[in-house]
Amino acid sequence: MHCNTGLIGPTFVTGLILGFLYALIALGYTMVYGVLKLINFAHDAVFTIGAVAVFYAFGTWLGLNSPAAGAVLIMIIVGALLAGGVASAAGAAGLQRLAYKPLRKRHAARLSYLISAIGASFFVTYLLEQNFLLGPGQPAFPNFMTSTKAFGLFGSNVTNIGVLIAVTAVVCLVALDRIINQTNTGRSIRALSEDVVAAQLMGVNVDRVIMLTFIIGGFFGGVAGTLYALQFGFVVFNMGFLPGIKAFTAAVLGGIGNIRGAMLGGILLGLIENMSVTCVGNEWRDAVAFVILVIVLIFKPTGLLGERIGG
Amino acid sequence: MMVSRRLRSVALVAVLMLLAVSCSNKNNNSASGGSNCTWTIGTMGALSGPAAALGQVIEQGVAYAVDSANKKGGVPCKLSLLKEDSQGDPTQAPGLARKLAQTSDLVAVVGPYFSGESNASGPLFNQAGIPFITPSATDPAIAQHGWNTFFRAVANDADQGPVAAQYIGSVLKPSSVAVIDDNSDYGKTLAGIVASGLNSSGTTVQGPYHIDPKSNDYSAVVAQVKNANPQAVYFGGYYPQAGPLDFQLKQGGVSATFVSDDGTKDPAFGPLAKTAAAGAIVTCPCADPTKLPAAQAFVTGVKAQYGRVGTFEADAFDATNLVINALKKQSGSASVTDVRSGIVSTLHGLHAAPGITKTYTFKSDGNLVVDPARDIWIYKWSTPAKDFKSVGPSGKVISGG
Repeated sequence: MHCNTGLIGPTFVTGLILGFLYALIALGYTMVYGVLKLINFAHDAVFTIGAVAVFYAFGTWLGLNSPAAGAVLIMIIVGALLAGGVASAAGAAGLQRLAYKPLRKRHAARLSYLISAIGASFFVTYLLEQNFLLGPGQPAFPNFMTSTKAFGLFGSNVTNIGVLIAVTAVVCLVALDRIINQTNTGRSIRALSEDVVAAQLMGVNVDRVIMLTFIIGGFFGGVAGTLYALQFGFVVFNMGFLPGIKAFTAAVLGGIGNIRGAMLGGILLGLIENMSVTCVGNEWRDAVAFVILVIVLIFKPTGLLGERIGG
Repeated sequence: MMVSRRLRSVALVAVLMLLAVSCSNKNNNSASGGSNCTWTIGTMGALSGPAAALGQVIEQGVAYAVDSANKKGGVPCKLSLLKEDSQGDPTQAPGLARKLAQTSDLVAVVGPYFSGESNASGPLFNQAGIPFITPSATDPAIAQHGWNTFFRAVANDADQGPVAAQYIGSVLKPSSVAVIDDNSDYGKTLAGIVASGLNSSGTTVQGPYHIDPKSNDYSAVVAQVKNANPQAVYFGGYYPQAGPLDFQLKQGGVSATFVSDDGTKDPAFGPLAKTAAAGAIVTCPCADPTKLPAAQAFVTGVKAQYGRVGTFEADAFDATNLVINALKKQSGSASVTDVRSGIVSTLHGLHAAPGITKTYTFKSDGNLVVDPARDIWIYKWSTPAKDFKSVGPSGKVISGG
């Protein structure tokens, strides 16, 4: 095996940025799992909804297709991230109401949730593929932020969008950590994840907390979707599929149900994937990432940081 | 509660039935005319899915030929066109090929459009004795299966690859070239041919690097290419990946000239590559019909009907006309099996048959006899035109004409 040490620096930088995106998406998987012990396989569709909503709102309706600068640009970016987050949060809430709550009320088996989630994911994805929505193509994302080189780091170009991803991800991760560990809502979520019956007896409104969990996880998924579309410059109906699977993997790697674990898992997965090309071809990167996942699970079956939701 | 549940199931069944009905109406027949027998020409390729832009214009060329023939007459039976949408996906192709093969009055297939799906569905057509002529699939391997009923109406990548290598070597003159492919039958083979062409002419080749066409993130390959510091990048694959790849390469600080192939030659490349599209070069075994005197009537007609002429659209028109001309020699009362084998032997017997883009003589393996200098063209992305504009036939461009 021939390793090119010159690639370590550049792939570390690109892997870190990708890892931040995975971490943001992984939060949605891990929060829902923490509370409901359920893999929300529709989270990839939730991710896509955010990006597509911003595509329509900022491109088609507001027509922000030319580069902005200064304070206007910052306002547009914050607006776009919030809009993407809110749209995905609404999507996640709708999904919870339509695909999960009816099952929960009827005490369905756990497998039913899984199938319901996969069905919902396919439904949203292929609805978007219809010609009255996105269609099969890859329409360009509104061009309000021109991607330019911000600075060079370890032989890799970091673009302004790369910086935006890193800053946004850190802000979101810190904010969520605060919400979970220091607010009443966070305490309810943690309570529910530990013992549903005890939480209920202590006066936690289970329905409300579950809804909030979906909304918070969906919000971060939508922020990630918007950043993802901004970075690659287009939206496509199935754009959530691969990042969704990767983020789910990241959540398992870090310890599914554990929020700090999702963050750690996401960043690690991004780094492992990209840095693997220093020694093996790019076509091996997923294989390398999954081999490492399996190894981690053999020695730490609950993931790197275990299953506890809070810190 | 019981009533509402029952109502729900009734509604569900109703919806399913509606879906079934709407699906069964999906295949359009463009038949018209007064003959009392019908021959169906099948066509299959990416009419939806990620690479639909390429497939839709090829299908237009086929439909335009069938419609024109029905208007003009001269074919013993009226022609109907049966379209199957493979989404360009090799795993969907065999099922659709089987469906076409079971169509009782199907006499020939124009397609499949892409290489992977051609390799996957060829055995079914060949076994059923159905002539299939692709206007656009360029993987050399398709002609190496020994299929007697296969024809290729364009030059293949064993012709295109060396031209791309020659263009890069003698026009761009880089000291090293990074070669990337999308791991598809088509992209991987073509990139391999280009790499060996470059190697043999003394140009250093970096790679080949492979991207995952299902992924949108090529940052690892971008880091590898940047580290290799080439003056040109060659990509074998299709525009849905070529556009984002070119964009990400330029964002990552790779300023090398982006060179690609006929799979990239579509206006949809531009919005994906954005500012990085400027200066991108593609080779294509497709002549620019707007520059060919024999194709002017076709160009005018297609522009009036569809707005623009797409990649391989004129070649698809030619391929369909080869089938239609062969059908003119068949009898309307002959069995479908005889008509099919009649087409196969007519196509094999062609000698320099004129089309609007080139002349057609098929080798025994189904490949076309070509002159790469004349039949393979160089195109360059034009930002004002938002499309690839022809630079000229490769022979003229490379010799410095």
